[in-house]
Amino acid sequence: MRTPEDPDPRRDPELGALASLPLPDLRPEGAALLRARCRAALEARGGRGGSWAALCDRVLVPAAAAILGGGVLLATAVRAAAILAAAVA
Amino acid sequence: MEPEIERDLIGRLRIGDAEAFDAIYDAYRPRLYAYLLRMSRHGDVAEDLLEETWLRLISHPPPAGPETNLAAWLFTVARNLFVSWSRWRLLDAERVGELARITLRAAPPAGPLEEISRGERERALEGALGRLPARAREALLLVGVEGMTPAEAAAVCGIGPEAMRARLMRARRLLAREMREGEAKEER
Repeated sequence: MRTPEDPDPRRDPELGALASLPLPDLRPEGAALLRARCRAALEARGGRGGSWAALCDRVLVPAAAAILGGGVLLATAVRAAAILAAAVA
Repeated sequence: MEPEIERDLIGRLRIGDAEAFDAIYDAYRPRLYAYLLRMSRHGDVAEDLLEETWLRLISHPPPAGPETNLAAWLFTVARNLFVSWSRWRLLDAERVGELARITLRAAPPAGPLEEISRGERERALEGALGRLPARAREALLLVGVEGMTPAEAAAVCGIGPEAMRARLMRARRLLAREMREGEAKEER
């Protein structure tokens, strides 16, 4: 987030001029060749790493988060019950 | 790119979706290439570092979580590769006794940057940017060209937000001075 002391690039003369500079890019044939090499690398990486990553993203991480979250919730409930019991006693 | 779309693309890239890679490649290739070209001032070096950046994305993609900022991740990788290249270049120069000749400050103007500059003002700005020390140049590129906040740029550079704000302030002063000196030279 931009804070009040940060310069606003649109109003700052130096930063505003930089923002309007054209973006150099690879020549179309160079960009296409690079894309092809990267896609080949992605294909070579194969399904194994990809499947493992998917398993992590979709199953293991949510499961770990749920277990941790559940643990914290349970601990809070136990603590609240203990405080309540102490107050009643 | 919207954060939700980016997260979806990263998730798909992680399972090997080539179309997701294409979408990220099309969105970030010109921005990363421009950054690397303006930092290295060499077209062939920028191309090599750009390719290495994409290969890192493919081999070790970031997590697809809500805290992932793809732009910051890609620019951090590109920057680290540039820093490694700069160190190697300085060590190599030292080895052959050329250290005194090669400094980041005196980097030569890059051809592709001259080719795309549309007017005198842009050429002067590219020239002034190229004469700045690398740290000042990168602060200006990340905040001025990329539109990052100083805090985001600081994360890319591995420094604190306050240090980046101070660096940015110095960089703006240096750029303004380089522009004035460039104009004064032309008038003479």
